[in-house]
Amino acid sequence: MADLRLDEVWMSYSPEGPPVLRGLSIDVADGEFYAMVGPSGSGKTSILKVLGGFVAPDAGRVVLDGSDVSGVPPERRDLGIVFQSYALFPHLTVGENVGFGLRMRRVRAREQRAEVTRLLALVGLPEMEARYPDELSGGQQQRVALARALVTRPKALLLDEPLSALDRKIRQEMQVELRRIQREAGVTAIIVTHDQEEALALGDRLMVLDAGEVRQEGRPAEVYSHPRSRFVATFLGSANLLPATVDAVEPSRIDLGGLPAHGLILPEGSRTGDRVTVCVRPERWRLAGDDGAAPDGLALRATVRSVQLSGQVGECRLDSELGELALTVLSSQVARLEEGVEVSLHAAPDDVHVLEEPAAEPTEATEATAPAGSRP
Amino acid sequence: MLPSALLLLALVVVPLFLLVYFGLLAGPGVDGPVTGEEWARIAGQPDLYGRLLVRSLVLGLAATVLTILVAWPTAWALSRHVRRLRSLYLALVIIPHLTSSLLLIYAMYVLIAPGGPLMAALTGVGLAEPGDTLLFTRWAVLLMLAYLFLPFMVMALYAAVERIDDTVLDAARSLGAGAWQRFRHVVLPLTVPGMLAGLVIVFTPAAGAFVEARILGGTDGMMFGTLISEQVSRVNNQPRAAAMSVILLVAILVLLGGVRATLRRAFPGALRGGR
Repeated sequence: MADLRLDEVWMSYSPEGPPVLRGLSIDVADGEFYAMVGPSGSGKTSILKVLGGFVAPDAGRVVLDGSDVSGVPPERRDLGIVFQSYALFPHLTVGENVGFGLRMRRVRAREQRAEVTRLLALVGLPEMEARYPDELSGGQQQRVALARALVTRPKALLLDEPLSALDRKIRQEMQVELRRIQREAGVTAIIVTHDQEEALALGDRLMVLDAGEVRQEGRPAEVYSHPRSRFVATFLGSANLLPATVDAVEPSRIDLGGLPAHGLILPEGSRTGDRVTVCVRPERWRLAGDDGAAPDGLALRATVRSVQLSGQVGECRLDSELGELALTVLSSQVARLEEGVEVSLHAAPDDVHVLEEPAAEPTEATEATAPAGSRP
Repeated sequence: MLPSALLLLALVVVPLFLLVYFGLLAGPGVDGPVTGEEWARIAGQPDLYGRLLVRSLVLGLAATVLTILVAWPTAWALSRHVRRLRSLYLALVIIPHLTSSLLLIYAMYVLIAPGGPLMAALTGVGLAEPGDTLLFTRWAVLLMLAYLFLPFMVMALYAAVERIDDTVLDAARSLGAGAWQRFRHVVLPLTVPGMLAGLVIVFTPAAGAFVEARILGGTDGMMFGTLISEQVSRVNNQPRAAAMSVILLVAILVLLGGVRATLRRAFPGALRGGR
């Protein structure tokens, strides 16, 4: 167990190639579960390669447990790694797979057996020792990979998209398990994933990575509800992004194409006339009664265009004077929202985020997976 | 019956029965009565038949080991280091063997003849006296057999090495395995099935070889197969040749079974099930 740090790490795969990591710094505390999330090509796996010692950074330091390990090869870094493909040894039994690290360290056979039994119990796979990996389900292989990585009591655990090969139900089950096992083992863990749900569910702390740079870092709930950029807003969950102009700074007043919004928190250093983007999460709209008062935050009227029920929630598309809007409501409320119905929407000041960047298009309502352009 | 089963019956089972049947006739010629006397004659001369049988098996096995030693690093290099020129290198391994094997044998003849390039080189580094030669020794036969069957072993091992996932090696590394441990505990066991396949492909024809032995081996390098071919072509005793063929066939099968069982005990996980 130890803390883990990257200091200003630059890395590229070829001398002429573009850098994959651009002065990246992270600081993971002892016992923390740290989640890195980003789209493919953002440098997630490269970070793990640098941490694991498989690739040397061009510049910067890797600090493990207080000492610089930049020149230390993977076999002497004392890290447990769970690979995306699990990378179990196909010719060894489950017990031999889990005991591999101890065998390499020449631990006595009796101790090896005791540790293997303990770890298999920890990951919930007792009495599977004699099986071979190809006789296990994906979820079971995942647990074996986890037990194998933890058996040597590594200084930290690195997880590379560990759940991406599992189907949805088992994936959610494993998220809970992963969290439990990490706590019980008390090990510092770093997970990289492209799955925002996974990152939000697992991390004590979350870092959003894009093009080799940290875009935002913080507690998952905080990063989700207070995105500081369009990228973070759309990559983690969905967002309504609306173009706006700063009308006044103190007290704040923002103009969304004629519609005013009061009492919002502006980015630092904002000045009157700045072009900004206003971001509202689809599930943060409240369906307000038509009381006529103009509260703080953002209030507007919109017409339901389509409703799509997906289990617990319903996803709605609405037409408004600001263009198309996305609204997510609990399924119990869907009955009220038939096509063509006019509703009043209100978002509290705390749910309306003013982002420094101007909007690219006049209006857009985006989702993380499939951005939908504005259709007036 | 399925067509494939019929084909197997006609091309493998029936000829094998004929071979056993001919071996039980009294030679020479194939019109004698069934007496089994050729078996008695063979059993009566263990210093000739037994000695040559053992030599054939040992030469075949030694040639197989030699091909593994050369082919293993070759296969590794082909799969891990020459990604771009791989087909070219594979072709270079195979192309010499597209010519007649007789040509290859005579090429070897020139190479190891007294004063030939190989002997000259060995003399140059002080490993041989001028005038020394490998020609007409069992070493010449061993060298020839290993060279002749090398591409088969390269192919068998290449297929096995190519299948090893790099992340499995990374995993071993992260668990503290150094280069030797990774080889010993991961790479080697994972190539055992390939070695076993190579063993069957190389050992079987090598142990039964006779042309190589006749041209390069002299009396020192005479093999069991040489004796069989003489029974057919010179002595004209086909029943004796058939009986000897059965003996060689059984000996090869027993030895392959023994090696397989040994490897299966040494690498239980790598050779489980039908692999």
